[in-house]
Amino acid sequence: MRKYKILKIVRLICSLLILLLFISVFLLPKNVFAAAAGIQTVPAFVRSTAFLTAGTIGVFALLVLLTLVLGRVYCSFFCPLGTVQDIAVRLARLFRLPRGKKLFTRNRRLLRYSVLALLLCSMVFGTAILAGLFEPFATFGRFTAAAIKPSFNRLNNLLVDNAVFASLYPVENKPFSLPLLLTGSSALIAVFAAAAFCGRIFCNTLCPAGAVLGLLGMRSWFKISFNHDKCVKCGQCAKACKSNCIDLKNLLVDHERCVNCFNCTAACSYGALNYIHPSKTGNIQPDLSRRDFLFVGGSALLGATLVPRILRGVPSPKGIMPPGALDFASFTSKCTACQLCVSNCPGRVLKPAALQYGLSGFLQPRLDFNSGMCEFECIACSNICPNGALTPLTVEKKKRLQIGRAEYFRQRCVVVIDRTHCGACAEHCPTGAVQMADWEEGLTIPIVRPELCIGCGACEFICPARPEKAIIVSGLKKQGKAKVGKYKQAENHLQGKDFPF
Amino acid sequence: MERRTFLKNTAAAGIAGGIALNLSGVALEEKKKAPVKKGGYDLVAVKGGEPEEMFERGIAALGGMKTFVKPGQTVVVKPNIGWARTPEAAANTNPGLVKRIVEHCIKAGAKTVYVLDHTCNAWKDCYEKSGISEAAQAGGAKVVCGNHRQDYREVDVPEGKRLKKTSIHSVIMDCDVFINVPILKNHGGAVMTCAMKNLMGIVWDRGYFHRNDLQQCIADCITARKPDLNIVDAYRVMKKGGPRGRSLADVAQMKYQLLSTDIVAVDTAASKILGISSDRIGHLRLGEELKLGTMNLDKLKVERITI
Repeated sequence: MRKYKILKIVRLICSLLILLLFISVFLLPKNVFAAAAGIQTVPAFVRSTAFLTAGTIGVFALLVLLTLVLGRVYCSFFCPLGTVQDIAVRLARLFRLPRGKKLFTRNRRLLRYSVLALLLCSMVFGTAILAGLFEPFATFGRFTAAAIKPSFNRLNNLLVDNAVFASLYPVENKPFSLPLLLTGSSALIAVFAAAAFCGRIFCNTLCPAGAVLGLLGMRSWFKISFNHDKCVKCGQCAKACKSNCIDLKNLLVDHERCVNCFNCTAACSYGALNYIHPSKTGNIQPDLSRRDFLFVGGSALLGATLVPRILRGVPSPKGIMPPGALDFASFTSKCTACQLCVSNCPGRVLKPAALQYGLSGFLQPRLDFNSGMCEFECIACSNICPNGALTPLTVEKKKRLQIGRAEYFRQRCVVVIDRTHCGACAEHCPTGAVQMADWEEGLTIPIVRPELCIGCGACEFICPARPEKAIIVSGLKKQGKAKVGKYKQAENHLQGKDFPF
Repeated sequence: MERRTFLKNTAAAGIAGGIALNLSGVALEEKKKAPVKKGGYDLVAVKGGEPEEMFERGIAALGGMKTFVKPGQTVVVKPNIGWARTPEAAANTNPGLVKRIVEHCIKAGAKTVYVLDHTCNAWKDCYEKSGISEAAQAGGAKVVCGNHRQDYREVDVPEGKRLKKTSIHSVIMDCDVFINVPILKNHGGAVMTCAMKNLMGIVWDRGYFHRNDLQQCIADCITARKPDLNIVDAYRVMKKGGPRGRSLADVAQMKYQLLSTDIVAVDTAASKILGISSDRIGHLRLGEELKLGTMNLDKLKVERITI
């Protein structure tokens, strides 16, 4: 049908544009579209629980409403990982790769709900990383940050070095992270390969967003439905279906798994499939049995008790949280490690953690003062976090937010060891917390005023002492508020006088 | 007393108030007609005006920019753009001054004028917040990034005592004319930062300096590429809390500017504006030892201009 072909083309264009938009959000800092990450299902949900404001709840409610009216259009139009899978399906069909024999597969409800219960409960009870590893936006984000961004930056710098475009400028690559590269690329390769052979199988088994939206989607107002009088059972629709959710025998569509891609409606030459509000719908799959319910309940219990205990978050001095994280427990229970903040950090200071926060903090962002420092007036990370794991800050607030505390180790300082001038730490300190004080032989050494220190790491980053630096910033479990130094106004001592030489 | 001399004298005395302002305007007109002595000075010091105006007077006293820049030459103007701070904070060179210098270079026939610094904060933030990127481009300069490893080239420093090799930005090694435009500031580590210390912004690895006798390395590095002209911005001076500064209270408005080809002399004069003894600044003495210039201002022909 022509109108459905148009609908499919609209879906195609929309999803590809949104995919590009989300890639750009990771590649180009200070991106005007950055806020769009907030429309992703899991981030929107976590953010609404983090802030409980009309705005954040409204965004999630809108997603729910959208699904209740139109079905799982999120999965086909807005989800970047969904589009990546569609590309895999497209390529597989282009190269005529073999696909699963059955065009209609079983709805694996038990598996889906068990995974959902496990992930959701583990998140509610203190650790977000398990949900983060299955969540589509974060999965897409980790791959983009680990693989696409470095290649993009390298290409950019190659063009700069060869003076191809005068308007380009060089960009620094983020510090390399092996855990991120391994996790990010293996997850994407797995999802991509699964999609190539079995279509949207990830979305209908492991994806927590898919599970929730499926529950809503089967109750949506508009649904793709068969017109029994027109259908000749040619099977074109089932062949085109990426979710393997068309039951040709009974002429039913499993709306829980249907992602509203409109492939089937566009493929049907008889006008037998329509996107309408059906007068009656047949139930395609039996409901969960009592035993199944017990199983789902069991995995919920597991998620609520054992998982947070195994994947425990452990604050440590080396785990310095980004500004706006405020409290370790709330940060680690909300961050799905999508790497959006890491990608948008203008410097090289933000880095996915290995185990500095414990298992729960795997790949969650931490500040590494060996590779950079937190810019004094920068609020990029806290204001881009789509999950609300980082609370948005104003520049004024950020300038006083204590994220760590510096400590000076005199026996490692180059001034003390070499008896030469240095002062690099005080030079870079933005708050006056590190100041040079007179020492011996006309030399100066730093003194730290901890109440003024915000833990930005400028001092540690720039400290020339090796192998161990002479000034070290340690992370805090709770981010606090620093005092502001009071300084006397400097005077022009030559006012009204002649040249001093 | 003639009317003309009277006006000049009143203006020079700097009587406050609207009448004086008006009169000094007249005096300026008068002065423009008077023949300006050109060239021959080792050091030109200007005070009492806006940065652009002081530069106009100062460079004229040195014989104009054409003394330094010949048509078709490539020029690098190296201001201090180290920090992501606004011009009022006086952590970076005055953007208006940078713009005027660039304009003079182009008027003198420069083929390209590059403006860059190896910044301490994120370079884009520094370039934007300091106002220098915008101002320099408006003046016709090509503003380039100084934080890109690939743009640096290893050079020998044969005269260096501690610094034998270092990597310097290629644009600076390749240029015909190198103009150093520091801002005068107090410095927690090096005591003072001015013309000599500003040139730490042309090297890649500054940590090496800090590990290997900072004061000596500052002096050593300059022997690799001595600036052809130094223009010290001392309009707003960070007298304490430098070089980054903590609040606007660290800054005093001094309204000075120094111009010289002698990097040690210009820093010695600057230390007197900052109000600290030049003996305390190790790299000045070490610079003198390396024959980069002289700390003895009495030996020099100094032009003093009050606006």
